[in-house]
Amino acid sequence: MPGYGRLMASTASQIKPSIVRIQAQAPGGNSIGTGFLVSKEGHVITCWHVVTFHSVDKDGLLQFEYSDRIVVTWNNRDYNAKVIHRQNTDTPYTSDFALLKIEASGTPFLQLGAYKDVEQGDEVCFMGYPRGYDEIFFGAGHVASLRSIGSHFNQMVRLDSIEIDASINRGNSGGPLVRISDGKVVGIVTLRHGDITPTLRRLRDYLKSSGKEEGILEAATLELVELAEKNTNVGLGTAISIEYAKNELHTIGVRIGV
Amino acid sequence: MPIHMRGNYIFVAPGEPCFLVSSNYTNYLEIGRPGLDDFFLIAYIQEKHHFIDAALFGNNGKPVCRVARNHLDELFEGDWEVKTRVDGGFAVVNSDDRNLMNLRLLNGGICLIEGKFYNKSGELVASGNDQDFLIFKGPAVIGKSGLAKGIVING
Repeated sequence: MPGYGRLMASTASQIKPSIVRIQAQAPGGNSIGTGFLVSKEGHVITCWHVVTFHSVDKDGLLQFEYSDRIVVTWNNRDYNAKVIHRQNTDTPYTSDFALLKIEASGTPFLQLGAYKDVEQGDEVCFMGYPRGYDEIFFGAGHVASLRSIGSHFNQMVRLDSIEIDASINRGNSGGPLVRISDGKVVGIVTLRHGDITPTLRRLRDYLKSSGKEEGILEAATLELVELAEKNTNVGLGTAISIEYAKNELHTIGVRIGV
Repeated sequence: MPIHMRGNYIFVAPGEPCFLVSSNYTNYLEIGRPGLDDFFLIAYIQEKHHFIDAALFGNNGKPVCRVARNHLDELFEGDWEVKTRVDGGFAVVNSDDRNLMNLRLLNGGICLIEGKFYNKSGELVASGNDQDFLIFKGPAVIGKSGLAKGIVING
C-alpha cells in the first residue's frame, strides 16, 4: 500500500502539535505522563493516575490526593497546570481521567470522537512520552478488543475500554488514542499489559518491609523485581473510552473542539 | 444443637470468582428485596466479575448511599464516604472509622463481604467480618442459578 506510510506520517503531524508532556510532583518521586489539548483555551486531558498520588491507611483504604504542582510542557515551554475538575473523593475513583488547564490561548486541539463508533480492527495510533523521554514517540496498532476493565485502582468498577495491539509504556498514560480513519480521539491511553506475578510482588513487599534490603543479594533481588514491574510489556495496551471525559467536560461547561 | 456450615460451595466451583459469605463460597447473596424493601444488598457474579447493588442505611435508619453495579449512584447527606481499598475493592466508611460495608478482594477471585447492614428502622439486618456473616432478619438468599435458589431464609 504505497500511501500507507504517508497516511501514518500525515496523522502524526496532525496530532503532534496538541500533545503535551506532564510531570506531577509527588512524595517519593515525580510522576510522568502525557496529555492532549482539547480546546484553544488550553484545556488538557490526561490520566487521573498521572496527576495524583496515594497512600494506604491502617485499614487498607486508599487516600488519594492531587499533586500540588503539575507542570505541562507544550511547544517547548513549561506551564503550571490547574486541575479544573477534581473527582469527588467521597466516591470510589471510577474513571482514569483528569482535566487540566494551562494559561495559553490559541492552542491547537484534537477533536473527540465517539466510543460507540469504534470497531474491532480499526487502525489507531497514539503519541506520547514513554519512559519519560523528552521526545514525542508515535505508536500505532489496531483495536484488538472492546471490553470492560477494572478501573486503575478499584477493580470492582468496570470501565469501557479499547484494547490495542501496540506497546504502551510508562509515560504514555494520558495520551490520546486516535482513530486513523477520522483523526478523532476515541480513548485515553491508560495502561500497558504486563506485570509481575503475585509471588514476585509478595517478595518485593517482604524485602521492603523486612529491613533486609541492604544486603547485596536482597538489594539486587529487589532491584530486579522492581525493574521487571516497571518494564514488563507483552505488546498490548489499554485506553479507556473517551466518553467519561467528554461527559465531564460537558457537565462543567467546557467547550471542546472549538 | 446449632449447626455450623462452613467451607461449602453454593452454586460455584472452587477457583471460580465468588463471594465469601458465612465461611461458605457462593455466586450470589441477596438480603432484602429491591423495589419492595428500603434496604437491600445483592452481590452477584457476571462475566467473572463481582458486582454489588445496594441501598444502605445507617444505624439511625437514615439512608447512606445507593450503589448500582459497584458505581455509587447516590450518596446521601451525612458523614459517610466511599473509599477504594488497596486490594481493589471498596468500602463505605465514616469519620469515626466505622465500616458500613467493606468489600475485600482476596486472592483466588474471592470477594469477602464485611460490614453491618441496617434497614430503614435502624434494625441490624446482617453483620459480617472476616470470621463470619450473620443474617438476623430475612428474607435472604445465598446462591442462585437461573430460577434455582440455594439457601433461602424467609423474612
